Amino acid sequence: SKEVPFTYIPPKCHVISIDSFNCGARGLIIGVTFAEESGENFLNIYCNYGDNVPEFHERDLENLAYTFKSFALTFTPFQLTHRKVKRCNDDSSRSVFILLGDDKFHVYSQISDDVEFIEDEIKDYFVELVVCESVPTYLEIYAVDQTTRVTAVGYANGKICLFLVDCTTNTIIKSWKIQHSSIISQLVLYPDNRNQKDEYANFMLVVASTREEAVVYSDVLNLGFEKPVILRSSGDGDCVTCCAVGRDNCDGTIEIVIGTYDQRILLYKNFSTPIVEPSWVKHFAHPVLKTELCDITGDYITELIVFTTKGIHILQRNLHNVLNVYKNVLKSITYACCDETNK
Amino acid sequence: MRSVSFVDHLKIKVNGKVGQGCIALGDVDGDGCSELVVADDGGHVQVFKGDSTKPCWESSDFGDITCLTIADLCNEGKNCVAVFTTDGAFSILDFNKSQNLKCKTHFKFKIVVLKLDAPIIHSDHVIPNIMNVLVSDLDSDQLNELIACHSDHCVSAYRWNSKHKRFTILQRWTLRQLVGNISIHVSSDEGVPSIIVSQPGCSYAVLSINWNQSEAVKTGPNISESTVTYTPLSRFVHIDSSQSRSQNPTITCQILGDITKSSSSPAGYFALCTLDGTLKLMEEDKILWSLQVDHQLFALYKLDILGDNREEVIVCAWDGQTYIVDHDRNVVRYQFLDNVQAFCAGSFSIDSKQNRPCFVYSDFHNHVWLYYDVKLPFLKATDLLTFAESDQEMSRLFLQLGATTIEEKRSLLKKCGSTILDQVKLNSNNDKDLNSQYSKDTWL
Repeated sequence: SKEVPFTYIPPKCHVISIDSFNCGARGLIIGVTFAEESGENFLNIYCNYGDNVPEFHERDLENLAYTFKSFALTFTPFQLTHRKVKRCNDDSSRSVFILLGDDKFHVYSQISDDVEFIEDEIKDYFVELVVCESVPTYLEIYAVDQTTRVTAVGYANGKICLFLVDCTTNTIIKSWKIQHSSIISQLVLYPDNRNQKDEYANFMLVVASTREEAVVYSDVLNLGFEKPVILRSSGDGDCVTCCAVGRDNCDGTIEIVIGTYDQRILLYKNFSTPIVEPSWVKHFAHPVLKTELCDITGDYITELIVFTTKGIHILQRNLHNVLNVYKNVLKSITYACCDETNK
Repeated sequence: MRSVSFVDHLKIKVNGKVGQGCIALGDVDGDGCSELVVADDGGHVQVFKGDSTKPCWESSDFGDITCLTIADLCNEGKNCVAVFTTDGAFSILDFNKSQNLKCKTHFKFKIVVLKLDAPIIHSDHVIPNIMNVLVSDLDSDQLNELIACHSDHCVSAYRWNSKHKRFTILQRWTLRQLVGNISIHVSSDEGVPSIIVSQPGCSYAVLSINWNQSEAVKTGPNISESTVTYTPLSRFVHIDSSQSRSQNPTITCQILGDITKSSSSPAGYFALCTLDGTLKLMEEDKILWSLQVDHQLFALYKLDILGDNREEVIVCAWDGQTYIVDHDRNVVRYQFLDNVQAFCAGSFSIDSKQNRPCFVYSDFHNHVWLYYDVKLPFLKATDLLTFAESDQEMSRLFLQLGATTIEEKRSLLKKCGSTILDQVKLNSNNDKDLNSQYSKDTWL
């Protein structure tokens, strides 16, 4: 590991959000929003404008840390995210930063690979984000296929808007709305497409809202918000701060993880009933801010990553259990091979 | 180095400073479950049982307590608590007669000897300046002896005389340098215990007993010399090539013997740790490994944290950094949230049913923190691929399927995952089969 100091991030500032993506022509691009002690807010976009970097090297990271464009923000920034999107009347798509502000959604893009990032009109990229219901707190975009995307927006007044958008024409196909009673802290869209015929089937939307139980809306693209499943005891204590969705490597079922400020991680499985009790709860030494289910060891087994106010915890599945399941799978594969050779 | 965090704890308020040696874990009332005994510098002793942060027994005016122990000191087949003070006074508390040692209920306890003053002890050997004590059967006569380590280069052995209700001195050793602490160690398979004493600069001495030998041997020449065998640091320097910095010859050192190798062998390892951050695991007079850290290690304990019948070495530093090290030098660390003035590792029963491994810390703000379930599934984390390669049945399956390289094995694991997923998609109509059992150890 190596520490790279980024220029012009004052030592006493508060970093609000950070995001990065890899651009084919420019390599790694990093966006950081921060608030200075004076109350001024800034967005710094670090991008190596110099030479073409087809492959990313460690030394480029140091160069990257010096070349940046700074935007003085007239609003309070929240979540910073990015999306590969096609601008209106453009032929090709490129990645842009989307910044949630307390006034509206802001988009930062490059017209071409060589020029600096500029703030652009949101309507040319995301037609569904033009209207702002309240202060947006969380944005989740999921590409269903090449031509359609699903956008879910959570607001500070508890409103959730869901859109099905045609990417090619940048028009809204369908939209749904629901009102929750507290600030939406995180939204996750997850396709449970066990049925392959209908691509829109079984899309689930997990909603973490601060002062109430977390909810999963199943099959949102067909039923909208009609089929909620309440994740019991997630809202018992303090704020629900985050959620993550993944699959159990042992049985292939969907797992939902909810993190709370009262230092808990709750895991839910099997969403066939309207109210689900947690299958597993773990307490942490500090409040949980963010959680993620992903494979970081490269063995195709997801790890549970928990980000607390004091550090990051990585939880691993019980490898004994996984190995036993995998042994049985491999045995059945071996028998299948033997059968074929016998025939 | 992997770091872990422990969550479940009790925060116990105490009235004063709790020094190292003034915390003990053990079964004081004979119910098979361990309790916590804490003594503070105001002479206040408290016993904690179960999940209550209120003491189930407390008493004050014990004096300036330096150490306490829970052991069968009186050879009556039951544990008692012995409290020792700087001026040589000691008290033996017996909780076994109190039928129900329950929280918040005042119960009658029997003090066998309360504040017996030093002159009453046999001969002119009083026992002041005790730094730490241990109770063990050293001469294999099925009776326990008390070994006391004094702050004036001395170690002495006593036996409880139940008829006269006093300690009889058996032997006294004088060492060349200040003693850090003492421990009992069985070095050979015959199971004969010996006393090991830590000496400054990560060295130690072995004390041998002569009270069960004939008078002729005892009165022979060089009596004091022959019972102390020094094992100086200089002998190890050339053996231990991993030693990266020269050892400070005056640095305070702790020693711990009888670290269980396996359940079959009575002989164990022993460990040494120093205040400048060296930890060494030794077998007989050979250094198995040594570990250098940048923390001031002051407390050394052993505890089976993994549940594999082998005892891990636990060391704690003044700043709260705690290391858990197994016999193969796999290390896991835990950072306690504050500076530590005393540390103890042992077993405690939070539910009065089962003893669990636990850590006890005492901070500088009059609190004792009891982390009551510090069990760990493993010290060294691996990924599934490495884990699968170490499994015999799995390697055979890999071989049958013609996977030899890491990439081939990795792709087989990927195939397993996608096969499971395909099965789920096929079975999408009967959801009831998918209710797999979720247990506490699904995520580690």
